Amino acid sequence: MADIRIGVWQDQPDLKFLDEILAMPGGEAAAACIQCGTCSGACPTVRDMDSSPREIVALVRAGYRDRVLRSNTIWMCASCYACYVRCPKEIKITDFMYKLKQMAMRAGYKSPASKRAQVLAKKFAGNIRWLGRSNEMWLLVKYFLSTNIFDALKYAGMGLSLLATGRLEMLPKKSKSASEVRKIIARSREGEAMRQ
Amino acid sequence: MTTYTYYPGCSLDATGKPYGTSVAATAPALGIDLKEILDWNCCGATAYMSYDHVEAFSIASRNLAIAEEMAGNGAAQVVAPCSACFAVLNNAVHYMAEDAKLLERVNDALGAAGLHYEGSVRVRHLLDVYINDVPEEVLTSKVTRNLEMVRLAPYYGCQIVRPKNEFDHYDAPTKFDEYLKLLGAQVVYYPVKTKCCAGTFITTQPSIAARMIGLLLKPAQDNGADAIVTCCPLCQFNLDNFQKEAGEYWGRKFNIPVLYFTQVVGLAMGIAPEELDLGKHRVSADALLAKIT
Repeated sequence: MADIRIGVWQDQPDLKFLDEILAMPGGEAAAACIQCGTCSGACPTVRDMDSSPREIVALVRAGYRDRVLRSNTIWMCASCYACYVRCPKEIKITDFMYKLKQMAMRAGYKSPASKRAQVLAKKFAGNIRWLGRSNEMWLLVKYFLSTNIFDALKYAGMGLSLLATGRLEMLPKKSKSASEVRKIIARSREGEAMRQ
Repeated sequence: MTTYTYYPGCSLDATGKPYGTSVAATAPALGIDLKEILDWNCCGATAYMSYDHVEAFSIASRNLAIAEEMAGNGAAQVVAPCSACFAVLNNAVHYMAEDAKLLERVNDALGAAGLHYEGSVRVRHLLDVYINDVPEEVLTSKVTRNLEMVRLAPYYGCQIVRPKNEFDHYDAPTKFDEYLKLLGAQVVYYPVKTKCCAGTFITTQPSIAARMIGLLLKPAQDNGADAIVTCCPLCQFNLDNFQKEAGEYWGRKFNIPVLYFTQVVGLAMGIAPEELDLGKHRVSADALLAKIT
């Protein structure tokens, strides 16, 4: 394979970053990308990103670990798959962004943009471990308690309308699946820990 | 009657209740028998994927493994009304078919609950089943009301046509358009039909969500749609509940009803609006109802 660490130089490139990414399933994107920018053109949130999706791939190759994992880009991906289906190299860009999200979350990277998305992801996962299913009401309660409780007021009108039409489940209903889901997650974590 | 293994998903118990109600009101009459997966669990949605992908696929696959057991020896068809559930379950099926190591890891995790996934499931969206599995003459024989004055914008959303789907083109699908015409309604030009509804951004990035949702409401309003029709509870929720915020962002006033396709099917079949939970949306559909004869 040709050396793809070309074109950009920085003071202290972290060349291990690219190797780590390439070793992950879905990480091949970093090698296959031709930097055409189709992904950035397809992205509905590109204007809200620090770096476009194309730039993120370039930054990964050049070893900019901090800039990539600190960027709001990965958290601005709404998983709509518009880039994924248009990429001429058939790179699974949405999955690539998921990988970077997982990496950033594990390494403890936080920023104003990422914080809320990370809290939502964590509370959502917690909800599933607790109930086996997602309870929208309790997910939002926990989310706003962990971010900004006053933000919840902006949703008061919506909440009242949902309540009035019986579309909010006030009492968390535990699905019988919850205990099995917890067992599956525990085994999955044991397996991952053993592999590492 | 064709029997399908049904995965309703978490929203249909709560914010998406009118979807569940209108599915129950229309499916049996069209010969669609939906058998719910026993004690199904949440698919994990997009949020769990940001967390850990083996874990995410493992919990999604619990549902697939149970569906296989319910189907006996035959291959199971799992039908999901929610586009996010559909995409997650469908991704899980395809990725495990491509990646034996992933399948092995998932099965190792499923073993903790005494389950095993063979790999025989085909995941389908409920809209796909309504459109492709109900013979045209059965559908038209059930249509008793006249919708020719009703103008609809078919909103597919992103996840039903992406990434690996057998349903329709990923960018410029037309089957939903044709289906609404078959029900007797007019279809307006709606070029944003597969653009993102902002998903969870209405919670995490509300101002960006207001912009994105406005982009979906504008062409419907400009082209004189009486309603936007969706096939996903999250799309319906965002488009219906964020019209004030979207209007503030774009300097407009939006008041466009957002219906589930199953509600439109029900109305065409002559089912009373209250039996389809039409009164439970934020934006009233009364003006549209007045156009049905």
